[in-house]
Amino acid sequence: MRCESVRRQLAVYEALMPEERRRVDEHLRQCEGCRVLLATYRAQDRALSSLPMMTPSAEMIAAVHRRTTRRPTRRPVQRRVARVVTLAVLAFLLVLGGTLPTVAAGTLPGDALYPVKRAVEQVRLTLTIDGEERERLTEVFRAKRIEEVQALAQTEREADVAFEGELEAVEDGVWIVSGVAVVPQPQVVAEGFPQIGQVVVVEARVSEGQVSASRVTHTVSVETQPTTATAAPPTPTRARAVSPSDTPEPTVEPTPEPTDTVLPPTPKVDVTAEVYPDPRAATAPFKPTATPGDEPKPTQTPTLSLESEEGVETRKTAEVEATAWGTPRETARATRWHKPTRTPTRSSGEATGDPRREATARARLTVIAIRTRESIATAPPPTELPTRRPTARPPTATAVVRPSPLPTRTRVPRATPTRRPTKSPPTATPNTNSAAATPTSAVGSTEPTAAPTAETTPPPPSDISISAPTVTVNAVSAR
Amino acid sequence: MDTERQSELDGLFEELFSAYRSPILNYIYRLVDDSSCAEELCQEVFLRAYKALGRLSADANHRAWLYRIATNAAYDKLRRRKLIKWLPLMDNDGSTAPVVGPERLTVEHQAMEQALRQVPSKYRGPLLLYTVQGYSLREIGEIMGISEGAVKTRLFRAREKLRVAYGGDR
Repeated sequence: MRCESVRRQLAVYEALMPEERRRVDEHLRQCEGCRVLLATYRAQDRALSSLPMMTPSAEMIAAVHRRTTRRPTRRPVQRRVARVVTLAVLAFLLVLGGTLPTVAAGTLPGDALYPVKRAVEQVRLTLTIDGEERERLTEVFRAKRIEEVQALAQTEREADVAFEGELEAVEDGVWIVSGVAVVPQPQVVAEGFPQIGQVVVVEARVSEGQVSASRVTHTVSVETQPTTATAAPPTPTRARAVSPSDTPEPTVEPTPEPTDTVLPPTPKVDVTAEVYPDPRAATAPFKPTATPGDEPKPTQTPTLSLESEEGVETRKTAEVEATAWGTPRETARATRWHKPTRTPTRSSGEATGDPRREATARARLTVIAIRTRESIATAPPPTELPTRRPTARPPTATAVVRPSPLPTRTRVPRATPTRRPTKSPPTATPNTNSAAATPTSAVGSTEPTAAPTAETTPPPPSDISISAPTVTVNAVSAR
Repeated sequence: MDTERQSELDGLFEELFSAYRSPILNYIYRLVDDSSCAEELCQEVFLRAYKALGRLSADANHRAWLYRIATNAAYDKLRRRKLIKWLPLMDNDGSTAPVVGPERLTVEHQAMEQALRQVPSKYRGPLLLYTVQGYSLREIGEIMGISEGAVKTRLFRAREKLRVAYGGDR
């Protein structure tokens, strides 16, 4: 065995296999140089093994522990907490999203969750793209609003509501809107002139089972409203034929008026007046009977007669109430009815739909309605009932009026087209602007060109009877 | 990974750390010849081992696996150190003084450490593993990633280098 190959094996002498070691040992017994080399290697091993050893520092051990044992102990806790929080949030959202709308669906106005109900409805409407479905939903929600108002009234709860419905009837100052009886408040603000069968938006307060409207919105133009004598709830004749007022408006402008004479109260009074038919009640459009240059002439000469009868319920009270409630339609009709006869030019202008005049008329009507209510509520009982008796009176209808606490001063002009009206003092002449509010003035204002001779007699302390045109009375006496 | 498995791994790591932190530290120290660097590398070795412990098969040789991580870390360190060897503050051999107290250093130890620094790291590792740690050729081959024949060759060359540096007549 050659020394070269033995020396390579001497480097790993301890790891040699038995056969290899036997052959190496035979060579070592014969080779001195190889024995010295093996001794040198063993000396190296001893020297290397005796070298001083490093001891791991405490800092190194702590650092390893800190960086290896901290994470496992914290991770599961964080995961557990995060899992619990996530589940709780999901459960809360699930309960909130699924239960809240269901609970809110049965709420009524005034409930805490009612805004949620409306919000859900709004979201449904917003998310509905199909037009037909959207309309269907709108109708469903509109019906819900009415059901809510009815439920509030039945349970006598108190809440502010707003709903939309069809004006079905006006009875005794009570509006029936989609089956809901709405009582206009004294300060009711009416926008537009709703007709029977049209849709109105009512803002009201439900209290003690009563729905009191504070605002009624209807913005349909007057000229576009189809009107018939039977469909119109209150007619202008009703409004102007009664509602006596003892206090003429202080802002009255002297207008050409007949000479009125106020008589002391008498037990029995007959009043004859000229009543003009409602131009809108006719099928044909209204045409002024006089040219703008001419003096206006009344086209009809209806007569009202007042006479006292004991224990008879007359429509005067109803008419007073109707005017006092200030229903926009009644007051609107009254004003429109007056204008053509007063100044034909103005009448034709309004008939063509002048927007500014129309807006002015609406505003005036609202003010008139409110003033009438206030004057009726605050007026002291009259001590005498001045009445006017026109000379010409073709009576076509008769109504018996029970005396009311309101002043019964009534002036009914007589139609005398050939006679030029004369100005009368402000205290004696009626106010044109307050025609609907103060029926006394209203009657006079309807005949600015006529020269009736009104005769005022002291009314009886008990009852008054009224004679009125047939067409007007039929429309009024529907109650 | 569930908590139970993590607990098992934590226990295994703790055992390995307790048993091999000192041998690994000394092995690295003999390779890099720098005590502070050896501690940093030792810490890094065990952190790497901790992260990779879950991917290690159950029948793996944990000791050989730890030494292989330590060898790679030390060789990487030495490789980087070679790149800045030209800096003037370095010693000629590129090593720093040992931190072992001078009272414990005998002349023989100093001579051996000086001689060991003369042995290239490529041969120094198998020599240390074979002579100091007592590993077999197969394990050394496994740690170094070489065959047993290559281990024998490296051991022979390491011994020859050390004999020349340390003094062949000793």
